[in-house]
Amino acid sequence: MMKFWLFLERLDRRWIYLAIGLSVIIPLIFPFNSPTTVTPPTVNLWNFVDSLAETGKPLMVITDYTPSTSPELDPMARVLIRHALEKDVPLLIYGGLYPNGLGMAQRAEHYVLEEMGYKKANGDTLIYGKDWVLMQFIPGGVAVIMGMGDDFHATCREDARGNSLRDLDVTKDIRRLGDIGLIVDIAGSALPRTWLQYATTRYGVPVGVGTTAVSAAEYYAFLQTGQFVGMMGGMKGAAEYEQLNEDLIEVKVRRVASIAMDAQNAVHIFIIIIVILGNISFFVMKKNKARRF
Amino acid sequence: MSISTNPWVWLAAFLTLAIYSFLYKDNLIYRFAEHVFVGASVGWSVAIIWHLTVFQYIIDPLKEAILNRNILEFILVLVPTLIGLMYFSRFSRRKGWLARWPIAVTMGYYTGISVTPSIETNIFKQVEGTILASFNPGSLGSWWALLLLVGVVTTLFYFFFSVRHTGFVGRTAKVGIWFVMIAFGASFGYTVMARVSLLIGRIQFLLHDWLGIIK
Repeated sequence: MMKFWLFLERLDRRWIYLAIGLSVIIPLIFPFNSPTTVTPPTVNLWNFVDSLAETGKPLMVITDYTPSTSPELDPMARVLIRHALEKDVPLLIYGGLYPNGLGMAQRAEHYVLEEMGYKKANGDTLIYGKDWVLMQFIPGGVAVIMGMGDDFHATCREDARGNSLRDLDVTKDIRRLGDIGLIVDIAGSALPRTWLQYATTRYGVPVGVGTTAVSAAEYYAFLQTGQFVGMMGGMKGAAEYEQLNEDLIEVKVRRVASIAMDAQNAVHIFIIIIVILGNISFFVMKKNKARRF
Repeated sequence: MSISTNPWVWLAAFLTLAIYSFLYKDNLIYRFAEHVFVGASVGWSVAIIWHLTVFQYIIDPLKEAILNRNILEFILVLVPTLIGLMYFSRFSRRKGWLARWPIAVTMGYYTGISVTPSIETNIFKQVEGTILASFNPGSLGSWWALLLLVGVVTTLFYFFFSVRHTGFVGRTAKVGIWFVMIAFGASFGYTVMARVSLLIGRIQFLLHDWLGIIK
């Protein structure tokens, strides 16, 4: 038995990398379709977005992230855009406060529209400016939120395609940030707190969050107080939203985040096993060394 | 299985594999991919800022002001631009002090606008969420709220260093450290999920977009 613990202690870490790689590849090729349990933060966010169809107020989806976190956050942007377009919720897609977000917004917009074939479920053609708008990058950080809060059109003059926002159906009636029904900030940083601090606290606009799993733990405190209306936490959150879209509005598409959850489960089981084995090995070896001296 | 014929997908696949080659050991291909990544992301940001900030908010308005002979608009654009340009004085030893001006303006503005919403969002609302307004023994929610209250109070005891951690204070702080450890555990679990998600994203790209093995 001692040989086994010694072997574990001396194991080259590259074997662990290989095992983790296989734990991801095998479930992706041979999926075991693990069930997705939907949690209240995602349901609350879904319900809030859905309720905008009745009020007619616009949804602003903000892609405040860079390619380094896109595997987790891209599926969130896509499910939100899809939900809004399916339910006729006026949609603003905005790249956020930093320049890299614009590319992420364009990519999410293109992906969903290609997936939908530029048509709604009832067969109507989706029209740019009437159904959705892609906003331009505006420099200034927090000052941009403040500017939108006071006078939307003075701060955001043109969309990403050079059209005046005063002429587009989605944006022509937005005078200030308060006219937006919900802002969902998708970010792997502290930016959702910035939107909360200014958009909600100062201008009273409800804010939801889509975030990487790393940041999710931090945002539960703001969910508990009701400051965020809902949250998608990590790839699991995106998978839950995909599940809700499929169950409640019959969106039947390739569910990227849900497919990934099989691999996620397999890797987690593997990591739990190696953490337990690593700890046992540590204590056994420590005891053994103490005996020798 | 349908392998992609798009050269950009092949390039992305090569760069992905080049980055992962570091897991075996540091090598020239990895360093090449790393430099391409840094260069491409900086290049993208510079291009966006050049076209959407420098041109749109400085050069075009200045041109327009000159053409319309609008002195006030010209000054309103020129003065903030000059203040912003003072940041570049950091490159000079003798004139480096000029950078303090834009720093002072930026700090003054952001401090001014953030004090009230920051306190309101991060302190008042959070304290409000911790206060146990009413307690109903039959409700599970009330017990969770009580647990939250105990967690916050004991954790605050742990971080209160003006009193020696002995006796009642010491015992309460010890309970607090348990809450802190559980929070770290939850945070670490989420971190593992985040890191694995990034790996899954790249493997999905290789197997789906590049090799076409999975649907």
